[in-house]
Amino acid sequence: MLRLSGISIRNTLRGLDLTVGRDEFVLVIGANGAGKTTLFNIISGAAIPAAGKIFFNDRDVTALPQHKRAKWISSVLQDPRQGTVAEMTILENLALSYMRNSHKRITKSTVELFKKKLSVLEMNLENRLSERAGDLSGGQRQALSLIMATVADYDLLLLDEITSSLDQKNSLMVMRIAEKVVTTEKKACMLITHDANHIKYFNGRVLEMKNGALASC
Amino acid sequence: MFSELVTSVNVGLIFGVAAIGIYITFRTINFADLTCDGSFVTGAAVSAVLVKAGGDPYFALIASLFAGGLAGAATGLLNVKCKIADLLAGIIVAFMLYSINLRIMHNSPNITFIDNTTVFTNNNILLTTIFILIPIVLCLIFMLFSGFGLKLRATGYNKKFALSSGINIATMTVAGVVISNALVAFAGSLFAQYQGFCDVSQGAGTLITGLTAVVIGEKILQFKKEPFLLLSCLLGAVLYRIFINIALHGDTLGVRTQDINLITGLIIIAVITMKRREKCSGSPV
Repeated sequence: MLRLSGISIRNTLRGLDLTVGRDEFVLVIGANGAGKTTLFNIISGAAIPAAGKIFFNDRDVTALPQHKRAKWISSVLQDPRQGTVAEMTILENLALSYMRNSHKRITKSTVELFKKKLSVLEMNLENRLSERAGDLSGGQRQALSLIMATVADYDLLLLDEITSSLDQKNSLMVMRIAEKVVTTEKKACMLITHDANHIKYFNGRVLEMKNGALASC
Repeated sequence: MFSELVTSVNVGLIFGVAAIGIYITFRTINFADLTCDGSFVTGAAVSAVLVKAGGDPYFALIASLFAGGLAGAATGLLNVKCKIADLLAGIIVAFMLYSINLRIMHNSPNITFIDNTTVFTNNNILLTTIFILIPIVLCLIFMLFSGFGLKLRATGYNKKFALSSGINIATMTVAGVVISNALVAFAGSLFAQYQGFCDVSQGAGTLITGLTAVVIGEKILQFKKEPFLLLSCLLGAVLYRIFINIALHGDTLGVRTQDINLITGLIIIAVITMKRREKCSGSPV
């Protein structure tokens, strides 16, 4: 479904090749500075490669801007402050994500869907829809971003160091939620982490990033 | 005294529309737009020329909306297509608008049309303003609550999030600046019809007075739901006018008309500083 061929960008990635199949779970590990986030940005469209091509469902998307790729690619960012809009309510945040790839209207049944999705978190967020996302804790906001990433249809879910700005307790909780989401959604997902301990939460292909290239391990 | 209060409220409401426009750029989409000093006059000029030629005054108001929107589109496109910084793009367009406004006014620096029929002729002035404002404010509130409004606001708050949520930031930025300048021009148009007069340099200071209205309004009416903050822009603009009126009439204060800019500047500095201090003390360090 996703295919990268010969991707290079300055000194970070050097002729990188990668194929991710439909429903496949891929875990990318590597030290800080290995180029994990750059790889992520290349896939999401936030960065444009100097050389190489990106194919999505056999379509060349190398030149497609990030906001257009958002139709198929859903992502959760490192920093929960960036993954949610602090000044907007939980409902508005969910609505924005829900409208990501269509002009669907928010109706009563959509709100019920949001509530059902939020109830998985067991944080009582489903009853706090009109509160501002900025009033939530970092862990709650990151959990909310995970739900936001899955309210609209997508083909590939990108999780980039989603626990790096959380304390140990919260990062454990967010990882458990991520595992729950990934197993129930059964869609292609790439998780980037520098913490090898995260491997135990997921079943899937593990790749190590070293010097701008990927190797299985 | 009462009639002066009514005048202040009326002028305040007219400038309130400009303040709403300024709110949309400065707050909603976080775009420091200085086009408004020019687009205010564009609206006034369009109104003056059309009304003077015997055109329908309501049509003149709508024509100003479009003229202002065009000016906004120029600024927005300079920013997103030519990658010129927001401040500079606005300054350049406002600068160029001076020439364009003179062209619209058939090369005369001011137009008097006090004898022509305007929206205020034979009507109660304050009620007319209110009747004109109601549909505009309702449309704007509806717009900000819609899916489009959500995207517009998300663009201003968090660009990174907006991009990953499939929002086209360039389109939203241009849309925001267009709506803003359309409103500013509309205010200019209504103000010109109220005065029966239009001057090519009357736009100077639109931004600062509008921004003052915005910050006063935010300070006094702290709405939780952002779309309703538009109402606080209107209230802020009215309060600002009343305040200036009182300052000018208190002979004991010794304030003169030429001191208005100084006083306005001091008000805006004071309110912004107060806000900053509250924010700092409120957040844990």
